[in-house]
Amino acid sequence: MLSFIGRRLLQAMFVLLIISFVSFMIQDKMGDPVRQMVGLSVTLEQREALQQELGLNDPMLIQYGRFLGRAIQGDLGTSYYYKEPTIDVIASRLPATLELSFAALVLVVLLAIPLGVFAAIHPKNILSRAVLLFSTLGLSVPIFIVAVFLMYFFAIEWGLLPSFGRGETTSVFGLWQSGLFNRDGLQHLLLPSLSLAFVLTPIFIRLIRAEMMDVLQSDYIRYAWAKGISAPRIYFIHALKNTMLPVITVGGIQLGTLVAYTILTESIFQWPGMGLLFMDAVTRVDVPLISTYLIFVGVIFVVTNTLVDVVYSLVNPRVRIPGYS
Amino acid sequence: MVCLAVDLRVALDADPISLDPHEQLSEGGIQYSHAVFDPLVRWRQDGTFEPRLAVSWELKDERTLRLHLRQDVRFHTGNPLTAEDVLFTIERLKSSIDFKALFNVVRNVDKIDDYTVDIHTNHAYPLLLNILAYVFVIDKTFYEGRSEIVKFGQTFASTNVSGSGPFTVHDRVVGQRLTLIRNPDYWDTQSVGNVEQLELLPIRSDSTRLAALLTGDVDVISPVAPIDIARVQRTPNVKLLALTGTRIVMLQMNQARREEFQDIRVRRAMNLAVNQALIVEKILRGYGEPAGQLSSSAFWGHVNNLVPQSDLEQARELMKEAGYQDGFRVTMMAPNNRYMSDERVALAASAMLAKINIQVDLKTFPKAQYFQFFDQQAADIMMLGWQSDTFDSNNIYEFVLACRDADTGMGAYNAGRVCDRKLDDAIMLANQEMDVAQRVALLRGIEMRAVDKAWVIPLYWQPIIWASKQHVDLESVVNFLNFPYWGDLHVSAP
Amino acid sequence: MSLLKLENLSVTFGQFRAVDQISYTVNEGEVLGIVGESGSGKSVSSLSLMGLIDYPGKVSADELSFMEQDLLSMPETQRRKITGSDIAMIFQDPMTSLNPCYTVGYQIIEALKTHQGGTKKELKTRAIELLNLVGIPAPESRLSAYPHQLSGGMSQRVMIAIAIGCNPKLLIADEPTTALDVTIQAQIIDLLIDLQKQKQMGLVLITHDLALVAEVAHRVIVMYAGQIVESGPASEVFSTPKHPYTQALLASLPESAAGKARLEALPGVVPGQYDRPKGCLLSPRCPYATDHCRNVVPDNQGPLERQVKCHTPLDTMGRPAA
Repeated sequence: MLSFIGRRLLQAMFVLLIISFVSFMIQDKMGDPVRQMVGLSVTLEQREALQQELGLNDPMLIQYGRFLGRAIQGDLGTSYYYKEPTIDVIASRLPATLELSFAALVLVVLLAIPLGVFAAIHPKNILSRAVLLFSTLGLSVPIFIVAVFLMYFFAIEWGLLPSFGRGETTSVFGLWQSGLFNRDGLQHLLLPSLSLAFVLTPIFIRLIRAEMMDVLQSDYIRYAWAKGISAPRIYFIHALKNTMLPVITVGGIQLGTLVAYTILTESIFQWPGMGLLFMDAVTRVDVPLISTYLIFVGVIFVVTNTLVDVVYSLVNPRVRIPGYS
Repeated sequence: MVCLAVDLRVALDADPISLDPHEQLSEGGIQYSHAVFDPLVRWRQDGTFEPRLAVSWELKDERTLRLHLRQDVRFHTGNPLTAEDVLFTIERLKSSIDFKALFNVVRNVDKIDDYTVDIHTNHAYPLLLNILAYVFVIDKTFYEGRSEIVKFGQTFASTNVSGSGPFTVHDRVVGQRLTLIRNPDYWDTQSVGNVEQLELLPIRSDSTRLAALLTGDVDVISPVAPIDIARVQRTPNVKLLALTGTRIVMLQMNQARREEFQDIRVRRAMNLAVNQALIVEKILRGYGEPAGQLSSSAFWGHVNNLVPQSDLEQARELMKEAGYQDGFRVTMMAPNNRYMSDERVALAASAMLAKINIQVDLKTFPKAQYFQFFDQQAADIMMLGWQSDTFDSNNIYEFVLACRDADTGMGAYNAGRVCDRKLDDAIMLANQEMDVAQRVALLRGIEMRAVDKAWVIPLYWQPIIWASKQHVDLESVVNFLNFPYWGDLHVSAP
Repeated sequence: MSLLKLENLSVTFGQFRAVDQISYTVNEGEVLGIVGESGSGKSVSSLSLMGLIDYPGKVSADELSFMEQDLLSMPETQRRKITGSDIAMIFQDPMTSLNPCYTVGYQIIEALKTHQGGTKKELKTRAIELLNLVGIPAPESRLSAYPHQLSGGMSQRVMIAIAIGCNPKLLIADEPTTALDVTIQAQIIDLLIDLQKQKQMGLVLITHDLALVAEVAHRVIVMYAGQIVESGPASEVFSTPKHPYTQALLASLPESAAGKARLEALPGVVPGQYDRPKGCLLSPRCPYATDHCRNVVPDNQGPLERQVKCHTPLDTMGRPAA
């Protein structure tokens, strides 16, 4: 296990190096950050002076070298807009995004597993067909339509939930601003996480259903019936664990999509997370923040993929332990 | 005299980038400055100047203006406001990248006594009051020694504030909210403003901002996208406030890139082909005003009978005369997230030009990239929206029509490569002409010449659109400059 | 008392009759062999006993009873109680019959717990006992092994351990050795027979291995295309087969082909869903078939202990009766 994690760390370093390099190389194409900082009437000369000060006129490789040098010391640059180290800025917005993702994942699990299992056990039931129809809808409807739709009904028409923002947060251990521990925060969390869940659930329902139907045909399930084991135990202990194996793998890949979808959700609900931060940074050409965000996302990917692999090996003994051969 | 104190939540599309009033010259920045600081003078809705920190002034000679300051003003720290603070402020403005051009004309400021200053300009300058409206006086004692202005780094002034304005900064989370609370010791006791707490919230998405108003989560929003206007009007407990602003959106034809554009008949034809009234009616839903010239009616250079013309027949005739009956192909660039409906307007204009056989290859870009292209003059036709900082016609002419001069900075936004000696001379004269009638005549002359020569295609003056709950009396504080004076906002009982 | 009694059991999948009106009984302490080729319906009939036939299969019978209790009309909960405890079954491929995600110990204890209950310690002790019983060395360490860590023979022993764990009255073994090496096969069969004798279980041994059945079964039934074509004491059926199909089966054994270049086999294939003959199911292939055979379905002939479904059963010389 240790060597596995060690190898992963090395991979991570490599991935991050490439990401940082690429994000640097495309800097030019993102726009002129100086322009975003000054008024229209500022002269070209002064803008060029600013560019010089920021070191934007140096050749790309030199700028990259400088960046690497500072990165090793833990400094990934200072945001032009926030005027703070980019790492601090992103870290301050991380709780919002993580809580949103977490809430969405909880909803996905709560929805997809029961519905998928039900649809697998009773494929001809009208409820199962309805579930499948709903999942097709979910797969085809873009997230911003879902989000706006939810906002329209729950916030505007029925006035049940707030329309934007994160609401009140409570401080946990002085480090983490959480919206999970107070009513206002939870109310604000509901619509955005529901939008995200709505978009992710369908694929999991279908996957769980298909896998489960497959698993239910296998010999060991038949044998479990022959042993006289109760139906719930067969479905939820014997079948489900085997069903979850490919689901975990796919889930890991979907985590990547989650990052993309959070950006959209946060933009629509003005959720002060990393995604919105990134969108703003792109509009303002806040290059240090953009680079740091991309690196951060790279880290998230590597970490989650590693976690998924670890979880997978915990669930599937064949991966963990060499077999008889 | 505050009877009913209310909390107001205002959602805008961005939050101020810094608490330092001298750091950036932008609409959001000035809106903030008006809430937390006081200017020497302030524009009224009718275009005249209202005394604020300066109670009266007189011209000592054509290069010296004497200001008399209020004597009862205290900063939020409690320090009294005196001439020292005014000197300090103007010095600082002259050193600020964004403001130095505006204050270039100010040679120096003399303190006559604690409440009197003399402002000396390099030459006679008719727009001195216009720029004094940007002098948001800051607390010298508070800021001295730590007053550097850095665009991209943290400074004391960007996070610490002491002004004299109607509100103090209570709490700020960058990118999320700015909370201001009423200054109980504010000197302007005549103000009817009763907002106790003002929260400025950025909401980037137009539809979310509208939703926030419709659900009652916020009280005021701006801007409102044209497509949402009907919705606001249909909803009973909110109201719309729309006025025409002074930002002129135009298309510039680059004469250096295309020889066709050097022919005045072609330029006139293009002006006639583009139907400004239709664009405003259909795309801006009737908000804003179609422009046949650069100066809006609020500016001195405005000529009443210069209305936008649209005549396809005549346009075709002109093209035929010029020998371009079969037209030609041009490239055009426009931003897609800078001006109201900018992309759609560009598309509409392209379609209109196609009617006189000018095939337009249009590319649109986010503003982050667009202005780089603009500087490089990367297309034959470029779209530009110009807001005059001094709220005066000459500013537009200086940047957009004057001959390009890298040293002086004139013509920095002249993507048409217009270079007319007579025009430049007139601009220079207008910059120093103190006699109002003379100056007006000069400016109008420039405007008429510009229209006659069809150097640019003016499109429209961008509307300023706000929406609020019914009981918020926005009309009294929102002006054509789009700097609402929140301190004077009166909100009735809901 | 007969443990198991089937009378006219049929299992249909839509139009297809996988099992066509078969009847047999199994007594205490008796080993019944069921032979037939693939598609003869031998496995399906035992699956229907266990209640493992799913939609769209339909099970119908005049009588299907276990220890005088009617399995068909029994409430589901009661039936689930018997399944796995009084009637146990082991399957053909032991490697896929155990859940790969759980340890061997877990799966044994689960079966015990479902039917017998007990404390963790008791269950564990019992599990180790069982593993010992089936001849698995070092049973304590095996408890925490995963199925993929076991060989085929080991796995089948585990299956047998689970099956006998609740002291079943009847054990059904569906091709228990087909998937195993030849050397292991003998061991497993010995184990099964030992256990059977020890516990006086009824054992239904389903296989296509005639030699095996001849060796260990008391009685045998031969199935063809879903029907029982011959039944009787194993020694008799194999020495003097009365049905042409049984004769053909015996003739096709490699042992019978000593010296010949080819194995003997009946021409043609087992009828499927769409080509069922009007009369006797074997008639398209039977060397002795007459028109009468082809048109009229044969009845069961002979005394109950020695039945044959043929119009012209073979005599002791192996020729059809006149």
